[in-house]
Amino acid sequence: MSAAKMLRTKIFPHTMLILFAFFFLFPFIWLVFTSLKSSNEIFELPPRILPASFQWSNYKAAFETVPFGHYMLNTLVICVLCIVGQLFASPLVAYSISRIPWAGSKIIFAIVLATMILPSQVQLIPQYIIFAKLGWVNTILPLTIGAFFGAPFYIFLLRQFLLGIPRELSEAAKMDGASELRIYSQIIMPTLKPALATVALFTFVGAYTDFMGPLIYLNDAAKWTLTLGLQGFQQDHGAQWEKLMAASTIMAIPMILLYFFGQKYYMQSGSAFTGFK
Amino acid sequence: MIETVSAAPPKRRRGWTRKEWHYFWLGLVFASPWIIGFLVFTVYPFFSSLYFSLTEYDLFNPPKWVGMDNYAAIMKDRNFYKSISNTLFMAFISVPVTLFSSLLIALLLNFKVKGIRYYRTIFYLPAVIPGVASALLWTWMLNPDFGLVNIFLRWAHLPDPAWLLDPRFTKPSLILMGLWGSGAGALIFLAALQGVPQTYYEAAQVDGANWWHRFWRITVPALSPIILFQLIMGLIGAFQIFTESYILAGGKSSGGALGGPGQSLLFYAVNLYQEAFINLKMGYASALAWILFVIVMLITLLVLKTSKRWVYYGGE
Amino acid sequence: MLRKGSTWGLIMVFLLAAVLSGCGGGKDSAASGQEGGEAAKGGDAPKEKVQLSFWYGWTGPEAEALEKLIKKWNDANPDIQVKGLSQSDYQKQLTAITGGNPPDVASNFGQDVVPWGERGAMMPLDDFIRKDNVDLGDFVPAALSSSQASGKTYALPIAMHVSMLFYNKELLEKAGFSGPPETMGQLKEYITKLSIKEDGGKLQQLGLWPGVDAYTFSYAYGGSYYDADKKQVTPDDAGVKKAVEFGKGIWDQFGSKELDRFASGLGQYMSPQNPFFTGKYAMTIDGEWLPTFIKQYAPNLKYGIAPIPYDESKPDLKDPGNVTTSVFYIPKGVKHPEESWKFLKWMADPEQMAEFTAAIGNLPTRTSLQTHESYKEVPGFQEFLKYSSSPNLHSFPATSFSTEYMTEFSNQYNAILRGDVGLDEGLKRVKDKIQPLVK
Repeated sequence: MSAAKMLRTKIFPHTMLILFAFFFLFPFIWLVFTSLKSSNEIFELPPRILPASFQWSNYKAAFETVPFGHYMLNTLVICVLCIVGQLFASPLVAYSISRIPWAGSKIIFAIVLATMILPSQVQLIPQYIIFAKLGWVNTILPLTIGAFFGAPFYIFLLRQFLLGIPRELSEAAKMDGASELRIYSQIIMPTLKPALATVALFTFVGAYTDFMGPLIYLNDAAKWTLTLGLQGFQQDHGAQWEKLMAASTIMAIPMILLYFFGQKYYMQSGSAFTGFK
Repeated sequence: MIETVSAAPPKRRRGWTRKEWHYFWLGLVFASPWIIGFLVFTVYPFFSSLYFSLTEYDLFNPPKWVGMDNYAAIMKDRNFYKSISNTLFMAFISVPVTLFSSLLIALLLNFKVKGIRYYRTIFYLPAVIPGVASALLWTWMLNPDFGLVNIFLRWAHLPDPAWLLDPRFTKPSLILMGLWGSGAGALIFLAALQGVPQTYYEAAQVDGANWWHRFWRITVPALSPIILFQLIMGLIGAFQIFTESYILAGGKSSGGALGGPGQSLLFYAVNLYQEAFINLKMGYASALAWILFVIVMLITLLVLKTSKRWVYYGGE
Repeated sequence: MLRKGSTWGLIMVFLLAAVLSGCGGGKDSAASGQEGGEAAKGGDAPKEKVQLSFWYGWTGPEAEALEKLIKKWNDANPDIQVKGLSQSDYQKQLTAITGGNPPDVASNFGQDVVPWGERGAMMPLDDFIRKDNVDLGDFVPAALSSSQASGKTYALPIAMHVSMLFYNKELLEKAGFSGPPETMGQLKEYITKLSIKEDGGKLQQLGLWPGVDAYTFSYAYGGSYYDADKKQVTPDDAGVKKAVEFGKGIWDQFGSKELDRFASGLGQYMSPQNPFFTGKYAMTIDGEWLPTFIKQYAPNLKYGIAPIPYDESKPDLKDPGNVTTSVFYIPKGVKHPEESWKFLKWMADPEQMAEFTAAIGNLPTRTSLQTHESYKEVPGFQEFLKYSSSPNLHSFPATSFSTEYMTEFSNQYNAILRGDVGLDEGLKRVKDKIQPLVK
């Protein structure tokens, strides 16, 4: 490998990545170190990054205050249902408004955008009334059912991806007499993998970190999610920061793992296009 | 067959062909999850808020019809103008800045080098830190005396502002914090970059196009549908910005008033929230919401209209 | 094709099953409370068992103190079982009441009571109070008044807060003062002497943070925010104006720029770096919980607790103060108002109130508890308990628009301090905005 190529393909990328990575990694390092400080140390001025001694007991205390396992399970059930729903509905709808030439596609796209533009605060109460009338308050349905009808954000996102896929891809199959459902599931969906992985990840993180939804709709501490559990560390005049930070660190781990191992779904599709040229 | 499929349904004076009916039903079936969800769960909240905007509604008593009174009152409300100018600042500065940085990060993360998996994870980390924790982190980072940001600025002999305490610098602080979250936006770009055929680049390289040319001729057009998405979502998000201000300049700590020093973080949605749930004026808040709706809808349509000139869809 | 079709079929079945199981699961547990009640009725329980939900805003250790009381109640009342739920955000209550799904008993801040109550969200308790002969005369007047309007009592105050003057004994001695300031004039003088600038003009130590609490000082000057007889809001009242002038006077002594700079070096409130604990503030105006924090975070701090200074021209207004409360109430539309009231009344009984307020370090709202022994261990409480019997304590006038009034007042107060608006103009803006809300 020539020196110039080495510089271009190895040294330059790594230097840039490391430089930027520091900016993005630092907060997390700070979070972890803060979670290991004693409560008197956290607000020391001037601040220091490293704890004087590692207080692993913060984690023990956090676990004792919040029933993590129980809340984690509750949270994951909601997350999984939302992902399943979102991956079922959003691509279907996006497909309809991007790749099926029908009269409603433009209207639906406009309404999809419109529902995002009206601030949710003024829709909260009527929405609650619907769920109350259905008898769904204090169940996870208000938090999950929406996913099975598709969310505007993902429909719009997938629409953009779908519009970018060359027409020829589906037309050849159509000539062979394949049904639309088959084209959708066997030809289009595979090329959409990176986008669907993004939808899944965002849905997970969105449901996992949602505070207002569970707060409003869950009336039973046994059904609580992790974000509601974090409330226990915050009081009127301040918070038990060391425990809050320990709990936040634990909470972040599933999201990091999911992202780290889910990445392979990003990598597969490049070939889907290149194979078709 | 190909022609009928790829062309939009031809305009006819009356009656649809069988083909058009076929596609109509097909489109309807594919879109049905969303249509059902919209009819059951969204139509009522959506239009009841429009009705509320024409009433005096305190949440506990039935709404009372007042016609356009709320809208007239808003036109004379100082907080309305304050919040709209704060919000426009965010929309016009923060959106392009964040868009650009997400794109830049996505390009970095698309390098095919060893260990890229780890880098990608790192860049996404800020998105997984709970809001209260990151708010504390930032008050710490932006501390005028001890914060890392000012330590750096002083080292570079640049002015070191009081950031979150100074009304002139609270919004720039939020933009800075937003940059840190651009990993999520980068993820979307990264997904889109996976769809750009490598062969395009190879062919361009054979033609002797340099990096910059390849970026402008291949990458940007290929990403343009997603740039449009990020732009519109960024605008919609900027006009509804709420949580950041609520956590940083929250209620109790500032004597009940939301909006931070000198009301510099009184954004449109913050003001709306305050009117709806603290002052118990849901009718007034709904009118605020519908004014915002009209403004943002117009901007969105304008962006969509211009997008025909710069967005390239591979499928068209 | 067939294979493909069956895969899709399977997916659809799975989805449906997921939805249904989520639905069924939810319904089961939602109904379990009622089923439990019916089962008990079917058995040999003499009365129908009632399950009450009780939502409160305390979290963490404070919530534990409350749960202890709930358990005590449940053990003694098998026929009325209470289930507590800690929720730090009051949005939940608001939504649930509006949506017709309210809790049976709930807590809230005193300042929300009349705005919510006058709009019909809270059940007036007067009939219950009369029937059970609850002695309202035992309650601190300023605390009770925040729950009352138009002859109705919408909630019972369970805990109250009042601010006093805290001073750093060593710093005062160093400046040549042998005791705390007693009058507003002295306070001004103290602040000037206790504020120390470094050589470069950088503020090092501040006598008293000028942005603090205009309400407390308003009452010191005999100010009032509302004239109930004339139905006039009075942010321009002479006493209020004097309090704002007082804050503005100190603020301008240093200026926004220097104060921002100074504030940026201050530590977190609930930490050893609290500026009063570290000597950055020589004095501060704060509530009854502060001594507990001092004991925890700065046990070596030598401090004193003194009455809020009074206006020398109005010696009859000694020991002024601004009272805020936490309350329990019954939302409108509850299914078992009688049982809800029984529980609420029990919680507000002297015994329970003493246990709860002592555990969370809040002041009791009953004057009969001001000498109760359970507060002996709470640091600083002797001073505060004594102070809470002062006749010059006030709470912000309880009206249907008081939250909006307070928000606007605090906005304009900040704008006045920062010089964004003149004093008279700022107060006039408050009046212009709030007066139309008077009905």
